Amino acid sequence: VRLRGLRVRQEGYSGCEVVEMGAIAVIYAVSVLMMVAGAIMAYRKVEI
Amino acid sequence: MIIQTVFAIYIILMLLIGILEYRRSGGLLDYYLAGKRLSATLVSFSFFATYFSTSAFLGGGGFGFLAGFQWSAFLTFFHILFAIMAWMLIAPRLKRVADETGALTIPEMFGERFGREVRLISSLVIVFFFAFYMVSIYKGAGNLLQVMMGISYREGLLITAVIVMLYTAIGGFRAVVYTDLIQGVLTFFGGVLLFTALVYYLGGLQAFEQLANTKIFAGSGELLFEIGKLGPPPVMKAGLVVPFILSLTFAISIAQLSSPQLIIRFVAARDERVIRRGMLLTPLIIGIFAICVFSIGPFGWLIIPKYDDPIKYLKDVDLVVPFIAMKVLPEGINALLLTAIIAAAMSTINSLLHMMATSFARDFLRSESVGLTRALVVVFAAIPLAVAVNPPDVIVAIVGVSFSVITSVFLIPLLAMLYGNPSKKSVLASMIAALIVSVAWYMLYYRVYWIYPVVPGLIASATVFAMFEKFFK
Repeated sequence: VRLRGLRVRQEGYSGCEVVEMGAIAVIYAVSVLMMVAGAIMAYRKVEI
Repeated sequence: MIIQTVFAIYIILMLLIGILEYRRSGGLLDYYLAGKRLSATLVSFSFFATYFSTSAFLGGGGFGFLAGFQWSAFLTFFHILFAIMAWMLIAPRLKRVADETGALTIPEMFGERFGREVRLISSLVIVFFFAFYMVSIYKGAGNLLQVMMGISYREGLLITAVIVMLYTAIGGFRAVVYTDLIQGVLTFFGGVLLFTALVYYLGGLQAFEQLANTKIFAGSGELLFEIGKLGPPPVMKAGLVVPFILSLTFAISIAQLSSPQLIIRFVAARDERVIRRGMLLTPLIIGIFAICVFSIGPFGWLIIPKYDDPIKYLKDVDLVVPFIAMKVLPEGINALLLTAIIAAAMSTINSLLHMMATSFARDFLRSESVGLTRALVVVFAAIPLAVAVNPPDVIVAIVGVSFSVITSVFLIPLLAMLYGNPSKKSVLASMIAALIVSVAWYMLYYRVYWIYPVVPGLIASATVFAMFEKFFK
């Protein structure tokens, strides 16, 4: 893998790439859900 | 000029806090643990500020430019997971054990349960590996001040070291946590502001669509969203991007569970109610900051190529976030952000420094003198400073592994102390195994398998612990 000759281009993406983007989105979504669930659990403990 | 003025105000504020807390400090418990009277806000922001150093912005934020969104997503996931675990599984029990034993340092707590040898090893690991860890943070701060203020690298190092050393030595743990609060607030809002300004600058949600269509690495054509494709060239060549990204993001994040400079904050909390409030507040602060800052790097592809050669930024990802900040924020605001990045470094250095000095004085020298602890703060600030001026290759190698050693040496003994009744031999053996395996792995195998040394270090530590518990108890 060489960095030389690098170029940035923008074009359409295939169905396979949509799956990759979906996987990344799922990891983000799980992270946010985990944060919210943790906050709810902690809030209950604060109330106790 | 604006940058210099904002930074000067910040420095004066830090020194004032040091002097003020010196007047309020009244003895060993105050100097070591702020009298064990910290509120939830102080404990939470101090935990956050200590954990995130300059590398969170520069490395954590910038590395996504090279490795794409897989880096950002995994790093965010592990940060939130381990922040919740640290506050739910470690904090309440550690506070209870510390109050029962009356210990003032983490090695002292280990010593109360597992004997003098474990206390000594813990203390030496802290002093030795924290010194190397500090070298890396000094370097980051020195480089940034060089760029920000137009001064030399050495002057940048000296300013960072002298300011932190002064307020930590005179004000003790009180000064550390109060400066952490200001540094933490600056760091948190700086990160959130930068991400918000970036998305706004790129036209809102359409930035994601643009990124989805952006292909880089002309020869191979990977997308920023592809998992297991983008990474540093040697890792891509070895075809080991997934283990590299997973182990590195895991290693960075799991440090929240067992790094002594972080978990000592649980001990300094006023009571268990403070811990419960911190449980609510801290994972939220860490989660929001992680989502914002770690996602900045990949967006660099929509900005940097318009102004500069991206190869320069691929070779040194630390340049990505400062460059984006300069482009998307107006001058007065970017001065605040750059100060926030320096604040992130200082808040980590002050905690490492305080931990090294208190541990060496109390656990190694068995001294109860506040004066001696202050003198040790000065000594331990100076040693890494001298090394950071021009670090030899061997030091650079140890710096790379220091973070891993600290996490892997302390995690299993800490969990064992809080959740079981292990033998002294098992704990001692697991610490030694973690130390040897993580250093050896880094020296011999890391660049072959690209798995960060925390993973083999923890596996070795857990395996040796289990074997000793089973066969030698």
